[in-house]
Amino acid sequence: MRILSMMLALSGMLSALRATTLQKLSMDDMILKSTAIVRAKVVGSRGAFRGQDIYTYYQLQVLESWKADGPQQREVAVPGGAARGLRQTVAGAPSLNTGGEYLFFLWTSRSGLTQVIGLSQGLFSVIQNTAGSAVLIRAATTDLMLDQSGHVVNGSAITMSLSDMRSQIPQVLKAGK
Amino acid sequence: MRLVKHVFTAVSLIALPSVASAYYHWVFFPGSNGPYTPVPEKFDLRVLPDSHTISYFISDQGPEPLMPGDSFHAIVSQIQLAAGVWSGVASSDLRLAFGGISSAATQQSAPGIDVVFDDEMPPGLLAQSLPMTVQDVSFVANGAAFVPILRSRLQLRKDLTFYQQASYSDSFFLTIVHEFGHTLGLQHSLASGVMSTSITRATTKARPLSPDDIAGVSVLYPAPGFLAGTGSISGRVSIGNAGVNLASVVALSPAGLAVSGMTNPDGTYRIDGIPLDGISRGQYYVYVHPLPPAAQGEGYPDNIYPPQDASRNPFPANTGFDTQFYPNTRDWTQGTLFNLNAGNAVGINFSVQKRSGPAVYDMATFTYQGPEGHQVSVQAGPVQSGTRAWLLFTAHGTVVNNNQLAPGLNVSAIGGAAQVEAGTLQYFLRNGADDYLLAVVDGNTVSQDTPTALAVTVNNDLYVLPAAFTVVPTPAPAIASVTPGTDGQGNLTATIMGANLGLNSRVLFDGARANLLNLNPDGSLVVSAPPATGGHQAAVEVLSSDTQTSSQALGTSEPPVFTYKNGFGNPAISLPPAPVAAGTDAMVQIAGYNTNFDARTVVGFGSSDIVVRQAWVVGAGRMLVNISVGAAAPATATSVSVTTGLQLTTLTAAFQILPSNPGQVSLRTPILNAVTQLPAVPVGGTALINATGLPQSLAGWTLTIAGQPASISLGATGQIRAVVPGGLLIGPAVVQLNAPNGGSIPPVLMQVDPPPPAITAGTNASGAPIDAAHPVKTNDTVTLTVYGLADSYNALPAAASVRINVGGVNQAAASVTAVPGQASACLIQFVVPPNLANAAQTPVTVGVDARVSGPFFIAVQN
Repeated sequence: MRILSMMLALSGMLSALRATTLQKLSMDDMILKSTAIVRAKVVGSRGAFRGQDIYTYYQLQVLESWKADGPQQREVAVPGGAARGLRQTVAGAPSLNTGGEYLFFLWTSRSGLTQVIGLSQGLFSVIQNTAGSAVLIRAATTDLMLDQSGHVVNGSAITMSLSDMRSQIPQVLKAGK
Repeated sequence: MRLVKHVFTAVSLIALPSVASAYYHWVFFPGSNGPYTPVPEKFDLRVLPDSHTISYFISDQGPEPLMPGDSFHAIVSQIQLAAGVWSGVASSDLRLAFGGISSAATQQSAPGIDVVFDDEMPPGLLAQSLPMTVQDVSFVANGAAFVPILRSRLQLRKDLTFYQQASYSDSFFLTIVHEFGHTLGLQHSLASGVMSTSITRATTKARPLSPDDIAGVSVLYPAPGFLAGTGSISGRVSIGNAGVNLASVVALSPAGLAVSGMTNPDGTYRIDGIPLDGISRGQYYVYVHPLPPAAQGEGYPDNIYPPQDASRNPFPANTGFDTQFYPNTRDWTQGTLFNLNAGNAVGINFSVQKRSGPAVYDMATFTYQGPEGHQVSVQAGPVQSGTRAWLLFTAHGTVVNNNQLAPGLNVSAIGGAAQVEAGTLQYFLRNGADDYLLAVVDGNTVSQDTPTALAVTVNNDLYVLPAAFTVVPTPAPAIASVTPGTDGQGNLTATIMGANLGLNSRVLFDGARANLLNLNPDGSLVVSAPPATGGHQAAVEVLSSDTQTSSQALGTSEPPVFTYKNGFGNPAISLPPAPVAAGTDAMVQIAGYNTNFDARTVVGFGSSDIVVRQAWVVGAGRMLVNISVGAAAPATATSVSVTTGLQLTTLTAAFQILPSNPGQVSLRTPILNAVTQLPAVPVGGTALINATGLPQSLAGWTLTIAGQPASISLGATGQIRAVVPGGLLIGPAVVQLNAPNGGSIPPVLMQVDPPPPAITAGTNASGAPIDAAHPVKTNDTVTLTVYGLADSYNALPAAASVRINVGGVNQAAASVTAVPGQASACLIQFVVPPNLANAAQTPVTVGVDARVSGPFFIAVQN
C-alpha cells in the first residue's frame, strides 16, 4: 500500500472547470487580472460581428468603479449572439438581463475589446437579501436554487456581501502590486 | 450476494419512434407546448460535395509564443489526430478532412470548421467553440429535421504559454477533441466521456471517446445500419404528473459502459446507440439524475444550453429532483438490470421526488501512476488489476463543517471490477489547504480495461459517477529512452526502451503515428520515425490498448524527445498555374521538394469549396489529385497545404478559383468501374464517367485516356461509358474529353487497375471441392484458389485488406498464402458466416482495393 505522503505528489489538476474550456480563477486572480471592476446596470444590448465572430455587446450604466476609473457608460462584449440573421452560440457564455445589476470583472484585450473575465466567472448578480443588504451571487440566476425559506442552497454560492467585496478589492490590489 | 433483477425486453417493448434527443445536442422543438420532437443542430451532409466529409482548416495565423520545445507543426499534428478521432467513428457517417492552412481572407461558401489561434479570450478560458446557425429557426415549426450548422469555429489561445498549454500534453489533445465535438453539434453530457466537462471526463489519449460520445455523434450523423446494431431505451421522467425537463437518464452496464440522454420538456426521453457487444452484452442499469447546478463561470447547469422552441424561447432545466436507479431506489444493487436488444426500445419511466437540487455533484477522482516515490495523480485514472490503490476524490456535498464526512456518506463501486474497502473512507487535507476524500479500492482481476462507476450516497440523495476509475489488466507503458537509428534503406528509425511496451502499443511522435517495425527480445520497440524537417524535436508517447498512456505518469515533467538530426530539408511544393472554374472537377499536379509523399500524405486547398476527391502519390516529390470546386465557390485565391507525418508545407495564394461558367462541361470524379461501381477500371473494362454540361449527343466528341483514344457512348442517365484502351500502365491516367468546337474541358484522373482477381476453385476443410454433394455450413472453413490478387510487385495483400462477400454477407479473410510454384496464385481461407440461406449456388467474390473478382459459386447447406 502506498503511503499517505505520496499524496503530496498530487499535481494541481482540480483547477479546470467544465465548459468551453475554462480555467478556474480565484477571486484574487480576478481582482488582479481584470482591467476594470465595476458595479453596473445593463441598459441595452446589440449583436454584431467582430471579424468572423458574433458578439453581444451590452451597454452598461456604471454605478461604481473599483479598479481603474472609466466612463459611466461602458460596453462589454460577450461571445455569441445574433447578427445579420446569423447566430453563434458559446457554451458557458453569460446572458445578461436588461435592467439587471451586476458586478463585472472586466478585461480589455490589446485590440480594445472588453469582455467579462473567465466567460461568466467574473460576473456576479447584485441582489438584496432578506435583510435588505446587497449581496453578490454567481450570475447564473436562472439556476439559482432556493430552499423553501428562500435561502440559497449549496452550489449557487453567495460569494460575499457587496460591502465585503468593496473592502477586499483594494486590499488584494495593494498586496498584488 | 446482491440482488439483481433481470427484466427481459419482451415484456416492455416500445416501438421505435421519431428522433433521438440524447447525449446531448443543441435541440429545438417545433412549438412551446409540444409535441416535443427534438430537432438538433448539425451539419447538413447533403450540401457537402461527397455527403460525408466536413473539412477543417487551420489558421495561417499560428500560435505564438509556444511552450519550450513546441512547434506549429507539432500542434497541427495534434489537431489532425484529434479530428481523426471523430472521423474514425465507424457508426457515424461523418468524416473530417484536413482542408489545409487557410487565410481569413479566403472567401468560402460551403460549411466547414475553422481552427483559429486568437487571444481575444479573457483570462479564464483555454478554448471555446462557436457553431454558427441562422438566427431565424421558425422553419423548425414546419417540420424541419434539423437546423444546419453553417460554419463552426474552434478557438484556441494564440499565446499557448498563458496557461502552459504544451501540444504534447494529453490534456491539450483532449481539449481539442472536446472542442471538435462542440463544433459538430455535441453539447456536454454526464457519462464521463470526452464531451463531459473536464471535471468528470475520464477518457484518455489512448481512447479518447466513450460509448456516450460515439452514440452522440452517431445519432447525429448515423451510418447505415447504426441503429440496427445497438440498443435503445425510452420513457418519461416525471414529478407527479409533470414532466421533468433536462433530466439526465443514463444506461450503465455492470461492465462500466455508460450512455446518457436528456429528457424533453414533457419529461419524455429516448436514448439510442447503446452498445450491445463486449463484456456488457446488452445488460444495463438505468438511473436518472438532475444536472449539476451552474458552477462559477457557467451560464447554465452543466453549461448545457437548454432547448429552445422555434422562436428561440428556452425551456429551462429542472434540477430540483432526486437521483434514483430504476425502480425508485438509491441502492444500485436493488436496481433492475435490463437486457437490451437491437431494434427494440425498452420502456423505462421514472417517478422522481422533488428536492431543492442535487446533494452531491461534480465529483472528480484521482488515482496514482508512476514509479514508486514519483507517483503523480491521474484524473479518473487506472487501477491495476488485482491491486489495492488509493482513490482520492472531491465532490460537492460530501464534506460538511469543513472537515467532516457528510452524514450517511457511503461510496461503493458498481459492477464487479472493483470494490471500495469498507472503513477506508476518510477526509484528507492536502498541504493544509485542499480538501479531498480518500478511500482504498481493490481492483479485481480483469482481462480487459473496465471502467468502474462509483455510487455516492448521503442520507437523502444519490450521486453516480460513471468511469470514476478504470481497472486495467496491464501496467502502464513507460519510456526510458528514445534512440535514433536507421533501417536498411537509410530511413530514420527510433528504438524505444521502457516498460510494458508491446505489439499492441501505438507510438506517437507529436501527433503523428510511428509505424511499428519490431518488438525486440528485450521488450524495446523499433519504429519508423514519421517524416519531419531536420532539427525538429518530436515528443514521443506510447499509448496502450487498455486506455493508458506513457504521459499520464509524467505529471508536469517533459516527455522524451526524438531529435531529427538527419531529417529532411525544408520542404516546398509547387503547382502549375491552372485556375479552375467554380462548379467543375479537375486534376492538379503537385511537385514537392524535400518532401516525403507517401500513403500518409494529405492535401488541403484552404477552402471548404474545394474538395480533394482522390489522390495519388507517384513519388516522394510528386502527387496527383482530383479536386471538385463547388458551384457556389466565390472567385478567390486559396492556399495549398501538404502534410506527411510531421512535415507540413503550404503555398499561399497557390490556387485560383475562377467564377463559374454557365454551360461549362466538366467530367465528374471519381470515375467508376461499370461492373463494380468502384473507382478503378482495368484495361478493357468500361468506365462510367459522370459529366455536367454535355449535349444530348456526343457526335464529334472524343475522349482519351492516358493519351489513347477510347471508345465512348452516352448512357441513358447522361453518363459517358468509355472502354479503357489496351496498353495502359497501371495507376492514374489522365482522362481528357474533347469537344468538336475545341472548347476547354478540364482533364481529370482515373485509376487504371490490373485485371480483377479470379477465383478458380473452392474446397472444404477436407480439401474436397465444394459442390452439391459436399456443401459447407456455418463456421466451416473454405479455401479459395485465387489468381491475380497480387499487386504489380507480386506482393500479396494482407488478409485484413481482402474483402470476401459470401451470399451478400461481408466476411473477413482468415489468411492469404502464396501457392508455391505458382506466382500469380494464392489460397484464401475464410469461415462461412451464420445466417446464410441454404443454396446450391451461393456466390462468393474476393476483392482488394477496387478490384473485385467475378462470382464463384459454392453450395451451402446448414
